[in-house]
Amino acid sequence: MKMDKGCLTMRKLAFIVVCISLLLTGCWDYQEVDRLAPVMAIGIDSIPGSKIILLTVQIASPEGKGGSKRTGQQGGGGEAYTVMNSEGKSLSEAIHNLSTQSTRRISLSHCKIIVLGENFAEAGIGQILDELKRDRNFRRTDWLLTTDKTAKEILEKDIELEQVPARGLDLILQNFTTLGRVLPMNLSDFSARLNEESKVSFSPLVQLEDIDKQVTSQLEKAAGRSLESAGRPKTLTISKTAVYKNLRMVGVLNEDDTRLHRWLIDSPKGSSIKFTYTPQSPTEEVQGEVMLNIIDGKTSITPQISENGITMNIAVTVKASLSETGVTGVDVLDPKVVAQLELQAAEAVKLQLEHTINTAQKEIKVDYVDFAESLHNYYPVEWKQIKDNWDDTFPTVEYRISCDVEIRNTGIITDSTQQNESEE
Amino acid sequence: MAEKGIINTKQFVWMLFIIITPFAAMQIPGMLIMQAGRDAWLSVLSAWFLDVMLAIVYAYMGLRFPGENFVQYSITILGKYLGRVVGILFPLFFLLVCTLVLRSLSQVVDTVFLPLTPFNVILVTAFLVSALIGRKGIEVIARMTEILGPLYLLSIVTLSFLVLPSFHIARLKPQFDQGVAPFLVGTPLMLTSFGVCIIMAMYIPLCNRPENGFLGKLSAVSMGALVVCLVTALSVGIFGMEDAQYMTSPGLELAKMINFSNYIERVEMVWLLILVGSGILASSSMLWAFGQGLAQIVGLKSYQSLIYPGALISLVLSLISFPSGLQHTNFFHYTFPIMAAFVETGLELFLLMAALILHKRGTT
Repeated sequence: MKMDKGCLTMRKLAFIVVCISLLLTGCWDYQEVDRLAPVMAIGIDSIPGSKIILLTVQIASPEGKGGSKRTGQQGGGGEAYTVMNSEGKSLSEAIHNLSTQSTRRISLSHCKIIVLGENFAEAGIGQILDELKRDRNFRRTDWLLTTDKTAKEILEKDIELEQVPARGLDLILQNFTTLGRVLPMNLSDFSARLNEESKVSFSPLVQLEDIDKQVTSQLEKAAGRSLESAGRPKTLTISKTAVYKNLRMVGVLNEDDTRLHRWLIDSPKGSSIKFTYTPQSPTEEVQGEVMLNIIDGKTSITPQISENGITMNIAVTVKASLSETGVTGVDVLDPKVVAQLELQAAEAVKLQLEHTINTAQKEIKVDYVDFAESLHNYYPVEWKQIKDNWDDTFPTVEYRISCDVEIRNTGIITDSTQQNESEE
Repeated sequence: MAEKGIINTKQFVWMLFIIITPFAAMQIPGMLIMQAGRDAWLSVLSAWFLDVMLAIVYAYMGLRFPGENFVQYSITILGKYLGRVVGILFPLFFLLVCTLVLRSLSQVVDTVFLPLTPFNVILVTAFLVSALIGRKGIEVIARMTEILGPLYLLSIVTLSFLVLPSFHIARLKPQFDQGVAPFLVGTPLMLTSFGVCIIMAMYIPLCNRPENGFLGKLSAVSMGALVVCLVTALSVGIFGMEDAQYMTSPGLELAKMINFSNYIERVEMVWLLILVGSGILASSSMLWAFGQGLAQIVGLKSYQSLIYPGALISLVLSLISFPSGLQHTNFFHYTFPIMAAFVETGLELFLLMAALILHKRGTT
C-alpha cells in the first residue's frame, strides 16, 4: 500500500515536470544568438531644415571576431563589425526600417554608444530623448557623444587595437570616468541635467583628426624632404565638450576649458596642472615648464546673496604629485621652493578657471558651470525670483576663486641631475 | 479554528516584510516621487512613523481579543449581522490587493523582460503559483518567507551600495522646495502601502507569542521603510526627480544603472527575482487571508476550498478591470489609497472605538 502511494506521488511529480517543461519554456521570447544583430552603437544625423532622422548603426558580427580586421578584409573570416543605415520620421521608425535590410533581428540591448551628429544636435535632440528613455533596450548607462562632423563618419571609422570601434569608444569613456580631462556623460546624467534649473547639459565631443598627417608634415618641414610614412587613416579623438541648452547644442568648449569645466562641476582628480615656474629671487635663472599630476582634489561652489548681488565662492583644494620639472634644476628639496611651486600652481589654476567661467559668461552665455544649481540648493526661496531672469543675470554674476595646491610627493626621484642646456 | 498552523515571531516579521517588498519594487516609489518630489524619502519616514502608531492599535486589539483576528472580533464587537458586514470588508480588501500586486508584477515582467509573451500567460502563471502556495496554508508561506525575506533584504541593500557611484546628493537638494505640502501628500500615499501590513491582524492569533505582535510589526515595517527609502532616495539622486517620477519601476531602473567598475553590470535579473518572488509570496498571503477571513464570516470548517475560487475571481478582476496598464496605474495612484485608508485606518479605529464604548473583550 505504501509502495503504491509513493509510486503515485512519483507519477504525479513526473506529470507536473512534463507539463512544466512543455508550458514554461518561454518560447515566445526565445532569441537565438546567431539570429541576432547586436547593435553596438547608434549614430543620429539629420539635414538642416528637415525632420527626417538618418540613422547609422554599428553592428558587431560574432563570426568575424576571430581574425583581425585588416586581414579580415581579405577573407579571413569577415569584418568584426558592419555598418547599416536607415531613415525615418522618428528614431523608432528608423530603427524599424533597419529590418528591411537586416537578415537578423536588430537587438539594441548591447548598444553602449549614442553619437549625435552636428546638424542634428544643433537642430534639437528632443525628438529622440523620449524614445531613448522609453525603449526597454536602451540603458541609461549608455554614453552620449556629440560630433562636429556627421555621426555616420564617426561610426564608420576603425579604432586602433579594438575590433569593434564602439567598444573602443566605450573603453575611452570608461577610462575618462577615473582619469582624464573630459567628463563622460551617460544618458541618465544628461537627461537629469537637462531637467535641472538651468536646463543645460553637455556631452563629450568626438572628432576625426589626422594626427598622423599633422606629425608627418611637421617632420617633413623640418627635414626638408618627404618622409617615408605609411600614412595611417584619421583617428577618433575625444578632447572637447559640446554644450546643450534647452535640448539644442549651443557651443563647444576647447580642450583647456573642457578640462577646467570638469574641475568645476566634478572634481580635479585625475587631471594635471601645467605652468611656467619663475623663481622668487631674480638671481636664479631657472625657469621652465612644471607639470603636476593631481592625486586628489575637491571643488565646491558656494553662492552668497547680498545687497551687492550674487557672488559665487569657488574653493578648489588639490593634492598633487610632481610629474615633471623640465630640465630646470628646480630644487624641490628646498621647502621654500616647494611652497613657491604650490603658490604658482594655485595661481595658474585660478587664471585657467577664470578663463573657463569667462567663456561661459561672456562667449557662450550659458550656465554650464552649475551656478544655477548651487543657487537653487542654497537659496531656494530667493531662487524663485532670480529664476525667470537667470539667462540675463548669469553673465553678470560675480565670482571669487580660492585655490589651494599641496604637493604630496615628487615621483621616484627628488631633484633632477641634468642642468639646463645653456649651462653646459 | 480552520487554520491549524502556528508561526513564530521571526516568521511573522519576515512575512510582513515580504508584503511590503513588492510595493517597493514596483510603481510605489515612482508615484511617491510624483507627489512628494525630492521630499519623497522623508514621506517614507513619516509614513513609517504613522504606520508604527497604527500597529499599536492592531497589536492592542490582538491582545484584547486573544485568539481572534479582525474578522472574528468585528463579529464579537458588532454582533452577528453588522459584524459580518464590517468583517467581510477585510477579506475583500485582501483580494483586491492580491489583484493589484499580481497585475502590476505581470505588467513589469511583460513590458521589461518578456515583451513577446502574452500578458495573460504571465498573469495566469503568477496566479496559479500564488493560489497553490496560499492553499498550502500559513506554515508553507511562513517558511518560504523565512528563507527568501533575508535574501531579498540583503540583495536590495547590496544593489543600493553598488549603484552608489552614480548618486549625486545635489539632486536631492533643496528639501521642502515647494513647501511642506508635497511631503504631506506623500505621507498618506506611502502609509496606504505600508498599511497592507494590517494582515498582521490575521497572523497574530496564530503566533506562538501574540504579545510580540507590536515588536514584530515594528521591525518588519522598519526594514520595509528602509527598502522603500533607499529606492526613492537613490532614484531621485541618480535620475533626478523629474525623470524618476514617470518611471514604472524606479527600482528596476536603478538595478539597470549598476556598473560597478565594469565588473558587475546587467544585474536587473536580481531585481526581477525579488519582484516576482516577493510579489507572488505577498499575493499568496493575501489569498490565504481572504480565504481564512471569508471562511470565518460564513462559518466554513476549512478555508482551503475558497482559495482557488478566490484566485479565479481575482484573476478575472485583474483582467477585466483594467483595459491597459495606464488605467491600472491610475487606479493605484488615485483610487486605491482612498479605499486602503478607509479599510486600514478607518475601519480598525472604528472597531477600536466600538470595543471601548461597548466594553467588549475577547474571552480568554
